[in-house]
Amino acid sequence: MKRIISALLLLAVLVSAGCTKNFERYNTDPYAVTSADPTILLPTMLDALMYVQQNDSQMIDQMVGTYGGYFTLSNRWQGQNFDTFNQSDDWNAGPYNTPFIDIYTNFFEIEDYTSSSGHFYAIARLIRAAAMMRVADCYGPIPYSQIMDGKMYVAYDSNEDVYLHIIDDLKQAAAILYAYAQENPDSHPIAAQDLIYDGDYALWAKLANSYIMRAAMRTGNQAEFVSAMNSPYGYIETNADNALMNCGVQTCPYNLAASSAWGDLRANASIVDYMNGYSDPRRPEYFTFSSFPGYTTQYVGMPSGKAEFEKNDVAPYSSPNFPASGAGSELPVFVAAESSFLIAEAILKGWVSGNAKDYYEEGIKLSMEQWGVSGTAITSYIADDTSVPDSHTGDPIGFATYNRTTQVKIAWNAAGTQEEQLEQIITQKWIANYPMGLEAWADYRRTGYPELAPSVDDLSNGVVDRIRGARRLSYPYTEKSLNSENYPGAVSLLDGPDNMATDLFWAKKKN
Amino acid sequence: MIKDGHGGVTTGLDGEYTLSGLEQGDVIVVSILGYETQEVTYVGQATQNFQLKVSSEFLDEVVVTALGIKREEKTLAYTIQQVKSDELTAVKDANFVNSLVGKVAGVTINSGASGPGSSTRVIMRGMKSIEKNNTVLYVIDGIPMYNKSFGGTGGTMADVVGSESAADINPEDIESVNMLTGPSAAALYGSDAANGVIIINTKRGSEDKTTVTVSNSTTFSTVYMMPEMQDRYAKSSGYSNWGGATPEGYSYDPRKFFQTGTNIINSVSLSTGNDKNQTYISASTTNTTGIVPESSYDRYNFTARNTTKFAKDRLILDFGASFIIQKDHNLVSQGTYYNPLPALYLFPRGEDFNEVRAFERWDPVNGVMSQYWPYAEGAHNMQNPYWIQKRNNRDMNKRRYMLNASLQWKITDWLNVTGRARLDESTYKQTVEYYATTLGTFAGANGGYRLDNMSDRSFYGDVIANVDKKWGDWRLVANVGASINDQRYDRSSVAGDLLIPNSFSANNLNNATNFKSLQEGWHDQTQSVFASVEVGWNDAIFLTLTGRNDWASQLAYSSQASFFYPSVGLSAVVSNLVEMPKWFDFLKVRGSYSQVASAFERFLSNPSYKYNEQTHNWSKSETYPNTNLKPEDTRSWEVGLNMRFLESLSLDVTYYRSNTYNQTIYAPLSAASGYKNFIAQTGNVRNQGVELALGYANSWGDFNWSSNFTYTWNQNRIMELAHGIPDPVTGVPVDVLEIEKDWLGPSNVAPQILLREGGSLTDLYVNHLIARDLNGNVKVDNGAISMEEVEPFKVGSLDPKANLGWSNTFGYKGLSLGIVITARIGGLVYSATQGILDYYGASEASAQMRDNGGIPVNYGTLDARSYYTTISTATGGHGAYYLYDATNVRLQELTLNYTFPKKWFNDKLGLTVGFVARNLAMIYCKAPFDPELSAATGSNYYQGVDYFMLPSTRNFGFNVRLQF
Repeated sequence: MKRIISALLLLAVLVSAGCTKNFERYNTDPYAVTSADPTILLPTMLDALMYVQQNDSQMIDQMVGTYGGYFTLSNRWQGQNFDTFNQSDDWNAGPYNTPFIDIYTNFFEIEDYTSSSGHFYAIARLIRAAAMMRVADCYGPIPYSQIMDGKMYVAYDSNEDVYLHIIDDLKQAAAILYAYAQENPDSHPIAAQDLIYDGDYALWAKLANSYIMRAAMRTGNQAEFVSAMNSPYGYIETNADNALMNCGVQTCPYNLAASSAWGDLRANASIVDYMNGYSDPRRPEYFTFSSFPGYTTQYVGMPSGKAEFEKNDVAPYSSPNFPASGAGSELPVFVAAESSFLIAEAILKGWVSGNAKDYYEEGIKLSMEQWGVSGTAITSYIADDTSVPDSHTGDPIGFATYNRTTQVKIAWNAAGTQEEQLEQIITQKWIANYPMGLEAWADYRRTGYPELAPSVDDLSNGVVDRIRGARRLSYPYTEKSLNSENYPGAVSLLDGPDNMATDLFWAKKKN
Repeated sequence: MIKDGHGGVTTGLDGEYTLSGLEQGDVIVVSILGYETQEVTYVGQATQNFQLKVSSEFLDEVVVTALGIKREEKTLAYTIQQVKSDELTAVKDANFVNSLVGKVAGVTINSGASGPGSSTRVIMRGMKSIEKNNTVLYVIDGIPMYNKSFGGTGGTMADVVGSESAADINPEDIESVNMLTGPSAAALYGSDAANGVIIINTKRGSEDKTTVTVSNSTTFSTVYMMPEMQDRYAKSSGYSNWGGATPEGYSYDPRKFFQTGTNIINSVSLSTGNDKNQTYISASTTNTTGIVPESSYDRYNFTARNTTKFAKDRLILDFGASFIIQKDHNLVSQGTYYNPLPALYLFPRGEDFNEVRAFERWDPVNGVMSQYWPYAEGAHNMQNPYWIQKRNNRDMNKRRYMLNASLQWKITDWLNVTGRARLDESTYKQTVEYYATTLGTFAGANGGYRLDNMSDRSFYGDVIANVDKKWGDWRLVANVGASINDQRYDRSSVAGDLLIPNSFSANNLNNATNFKSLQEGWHDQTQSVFASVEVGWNDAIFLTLTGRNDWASQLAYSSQASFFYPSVGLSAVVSNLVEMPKWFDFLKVRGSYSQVASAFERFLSNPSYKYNEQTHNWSKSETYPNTNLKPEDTRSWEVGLNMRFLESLSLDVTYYRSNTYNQTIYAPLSAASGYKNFIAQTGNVRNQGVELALGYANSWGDFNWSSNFTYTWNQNRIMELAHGIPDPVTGVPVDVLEIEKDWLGPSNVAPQILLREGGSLTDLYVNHLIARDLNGNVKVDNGAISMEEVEPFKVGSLDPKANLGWSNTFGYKGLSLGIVITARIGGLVYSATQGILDYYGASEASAQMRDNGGIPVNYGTLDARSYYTTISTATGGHGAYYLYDATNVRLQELTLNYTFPKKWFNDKLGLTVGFVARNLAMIYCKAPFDPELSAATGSNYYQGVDYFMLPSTRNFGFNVRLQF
C-alpha cells in the first residue's frame, strides 16, 4: 500500500511540476495589449492637450477654464469650486495629477521603445512639452527637466526654466518631424492615432512653432518668438492649419456638460456681454439663445462665481453651442487667428517689424472665417468704431450686475496708446480663442485684458483678491505629502506663498 | 430499527414512530445522533416509549471538514459549526445564505438590499485584507465554488445589481451547512479559504426507503423600515419643499409606490435506493416579485444524484448533475442609477403624484411614447419612477450546469483512494434597454442598449488517499492528495445609443459616437499537493498536522513560483482522560495554529496596457511595475473549549487571533513620477475575537425546548501599514501612514474610510463641522450657520462590537414554535438619504423643526431651511451629522409548524403546515434604515450606507410540506 501512496505522491508532484508551463499565458490579460507598438498610447497623451474625455474636460478645461471668461459653472455641486476660489483639495489636484499621469506613464514607455530617438519619440516629446505648458500656466514651477522613469521624487524647475525647457523640446521635436515630412511626404505613420492632424508631421512642426510663439510671448522671450516665427517649418498661419481636436467616438465634452442631462455649463456673462456689445456675428456659432421667457431670441450669459443657486433656476441662460459629434464638435487647440494676434502684439512690443493693424485685422478675419462668417459681415465688423462691450445689467433673474468700464472698440485705434492697442488685440484674441479657457486665463493674468466680471462671491477666506481673480492654483496636497522633500523647494521658487493669490513671473499685471 | 436488520423507520419530527413486521423477541434499537442508543425487546407491546439520554460520546458526531473529509468532531482542533437542513428550510429564502443569519458565531452576514435573490456579504472573523476580497469561500461537497456576485461595488453611480452563484443552490438539496470560521479549519482548502468557508453538503438518496417530499413556501414581503417623510410643507422651487403649507387634504405617501412582494418556492424531491444504489432527484421553482413594481427574481433548479457501490462494494461511484435557470429583472439596490427611489422620495410636495403614474405620453412628432416627468433630473439623475422600472429594463438571464463525479476505491479496510471532479459552468446574458426619452445621462435621443455576455467555468479535480488505521491505543488518520482548480471568466460587452428608436439590439447601435465596447477575461489555475496527518491516542488526544503547497498561475512572472502553508492542531477530550464530576458530561480543549497564504491579484506581476472603453484609448498602467511580489499571508491561532453538562447544556467557546501580512498596498506616488502608485507588500492586519455558542435542550413530557445562543466579538486592528518599505527603484525607505478608501457618499461630505495604523479597516472619518467661534459657540452670520473644513478626525467604525443570536425551538406534540432573535451591538452607519431629504425639506424631521419654529442654536433659533441646507447637501448630509448608531435587535425568524399525526393518513403521509416569518419586528434600532442591509455586497468598504437604498422588508407566509 505504501507503494500506492508513493506512486500517488509522485504523480501529484509530476502533475504539479509538469503543467505550470501555461501559467505565463494564463497570467497574461488575453484582451490587452502588452508589449506591442506603443503608438496606441498616443491618443491618451494627446488628450492632455485639450481634454475630450468628459470628466477630465469638466474638471480641468471647464472648471479651471472658467477663469478665462468663456464658461460659467451652472452646478454648485457641494459648494466648493474654482469659481468661488474654494475648490476641494481633490479637485485642485486634478489639473496637475491628471496630465502628469496621462503624459508620463506613456511617455516613459515610448522613450523606452524608441530609445529616445526618431519621429515617434519626437511627437511624444512635442505633446509632453505642450501639455506640460498648460500645467505650468496654472501652477508655476513644476517638475520638468529632472523627470525620468523610476525617479519617484522629482525636484521642481523654476517657472522660467520650465518654459525654456518646453521651448527647447518643441524646437527639437519640430526639427525631426519637419525633416521626416520632407523626406517622406506621403507617410503618415500615426494617422490612425492622431485626432488632430491625421498624422501629418509637417503640420505638427508648424504647431510646435506656434506653441513656441505662445510660450515666448507669455514669458517675454523675444529671441525664441522671432526664431519660431521665421522658422522654415512655418507656424499655424491659415485656418487650414488649425489644430482642432476631433472628439472621435466620444461626445463633445462641452456639448455634454451643457446638455440638459448634465446642465453643468453655461456661457459666461463676460464673453456674452462683450459680444452682445459688438453685435458679434460669431454669437450664433458660440452660444445658444437663452430660454428665459422674454429673452428667447437673445444671448444671455451667466455671471460666474455665485456661491449659491438652484441648478434649475440658471438652466435658461445661454449655453455653449457645440454639437455632440461631427462637424463643429472639434475642440480648438491652436487656431491661426491666435498666431496673427501674437504677431500683432510682438509688433507692438517692437519684437518684429510690421504693421500691427494688419495682423490685428487678419486675426479677426481668420477667426470669423473659421466660424463661417461672411465677408461683408467681417468688413463691417472690423470697421465698427462705435460699439463697446455691454455691462451686465438687467439680468433676467437678477443674478448679478456688473458695470463694465472699458470703452474698447473693434476698429483699430491707430491713434491710441500702446496699452489701448494691446487691449484691442487681447480682446479680439480672447474672442477668437473661444473656448480655450486656460489660454484666456493666462492672457488675462499677463495683460489684464479683457475686463472680466469678477466672481460674484469670493469664498477663499480673503486669500484671493476678488477683482484680480485667481493668479495661479496652489500645489495639490498630494505634492506636499508625497513629494515632501521637493515641495519646499517648489514654494521657494514662487514669489510668495503657495496659494492662489501669488503672481507668476509672467502674470503680474495689476488690473 | 429492528436489530439484525429487517426494517426500520425514522420518527417524525414529534418523535412518533410506527414499526410493523415485528416478531416476538425482536430487539428494537433506538438511536438518535447525540443520544445514547437504547434497546428494548419486543414482547408484543402496542406502544413503547423511550426516554433517551444524551450521549457522552455526543461528539462522535461525524462532520464534513476540508475537502469532503469526514472526521469525528471530537478530533478537531478548531471550531466547526453546523446548520441542519431543517433550519435552512424553516423560513425559505430565495438565497439560502440569509437563512444562516443568527445561527452561527463568528460570522457576519449582511443581506443584499436588492430584494429576493440578491447577493449577500458574509465575513468570518473580521476583514483581513486591505485590497483583496474578504468574503467567504463556498464549498459544495468538498469542492470550492467560484462565487460570481453581482452585488455591486458601491458608489452613488453604481452598476446594475443582481444575484450571486451561491444563491443558485436549492435549499431543499442541502443536507447540512458547515461553517469553518477560522483559517485553521481551512488550511487544506487553500488560499481562498483564508476568509473562512461555508461547506454545503448536498443530499444523496437514502437506503432502503423511498421518500417523496413536496413542499411549498409562500411568503409575502412588505416595506418595513423607510425614512420618515412629510407632506405638509409644499414645494418652494425645483425639488425643494421649503414653501408654505400644502393644500388642505393633500397627502403624499411614498410608501404607496411599493407593492407587496411575493416569494413562492415549490419543490419536489425523490429519494430512493437500496444498500447498493441510491438516487436523489429534485426540482424546484422560485418565483418572486419585489416590493418595487416590475422587479422580480426567478429560478428553476433541477438536480439528480446517484450513488452506486460495485465490485464487491470496493468501489463507490457518485455522480451528480444540476441545471439552473436564473433570471432577474429590474432589481433595485441604491444610488442614483437604475433607482426609482430618489424621484419617489424627493417628489415635490404639493404636486400630484397620480399625474406621473401615467408615465408616458404619445409624442406625435417623434412617433414614440415619451417619458412624462415634468420635473428636472435634479442632482440624482431623476426620472419618472415608473419609467425607470418599466422603460429602463435591466435583465439577467443565467444558465448554469454543474456536473460532479467521484469514485472511491476501498483498497483495504484502512485505506481508500478517492478521485473527484467537478465542472461548474455558467453563462450570463445581461441587457439594459433604455427607451427613447430616457435621461441623456444614460442614453441618446433614440434610446440606448447595453449587452453583456459573460461566462465562467470552473473545473476542479483531485485525488486523495485516505488512511485510517488503529494500533492499540493509537490511531492514525492521514490524507494525501493533489488537486487542480481551474477557473476562467470571459466577458464581452457593447453599449451605446440606438439608431432606430426602441429597437434593442447590438446591430442597431450607433457605433460612431458614444459607443463602448469591452472584452475582458481571465484564466486562473492552481495546482496543489497537500497532506494531513492526524494521530489519536486513546480516543482522547488528537494531534493534526497539515501542509499544502500551491502553484498558482497568478504568481507567473514573479520571483516565486509556489507557496507552502502548514497548520498544526491539538485537541484533548479531557473527559475521556480524567474522571469528571457526574454532571460534567464532556470536555474538550483544543488549540491550533495555521498559516494560509494566498496569491496576489492576477496580472499584477504582468501588467498590460489598460483599455478605456469610453475613450477607446490605451494607456500604460499607472502602477509602477514590480515583479518582486509575495503572496499574502494569514497566520492565525485559536484556542477553544467544548463542554456538555447536565445532559442538556452545551458550551463551545473559541478565542482566536489572526494576523494577515504581506498585504498588497498601493503606495501613492507624486504625479511627477509619472505613476499614481507603486506596489508595496507589507502591513499587518490583526483580527482577534471570541466565538461563543451556548446550547440547551431538554424535554418535559410532550413538551421540549431547545435553545441556542451565539455571541461573536471581533476586533479588527491595523497593526502596521508600511514602514521603511524600499522604493522599487532607489531603495529609499518609504512610509505609508494612511490609505484613503471609499467615501460613503459624496466626497468631502460623507464620511470616509481612512486606514491608519492603530485603527481598523472600517474606521470612519469626517472632515467638516459646523463652524464655531472662539468661545465654542456656533458661528451665526446674518442668521446663517456655515460649515468649515477641519482635519479629518475619526468618529467611529462600521464594525459591530458584538453580534448576538438566540434561536429557540419549543415543541409540544406535533406543534413546534421557532424563534430567532438577533442583535448587533455597536458600530455606525451613514444615511445619505436622511441628509438629502432634510436638505430638500422632504423629511419629517425638517417639517417638525418648521412646526417648532426653527432649530435651537446658541440660545436662539435658526431657520430650519438655513440649518438643513448647511449641514447637508443635495447629494448627502455631512458625515458628522448623519451617522447613526447601528445597534439593533430584531425578531429575525418566527415559525409555527404543525405536523399532523401520521396515523390520520394511515401512515402513508407526513404533512406539516406552518406559519413562517422573517424580519418580523425591529425591537430596537436608532438608525433610520436597516443597518444590516448591504447595498453593495461586492465592496470591502462601501458598507453601512443608505443612499436611497431599498427599504428593508418584513416577510411572512406559510409552508406546506408533504412527505410520502
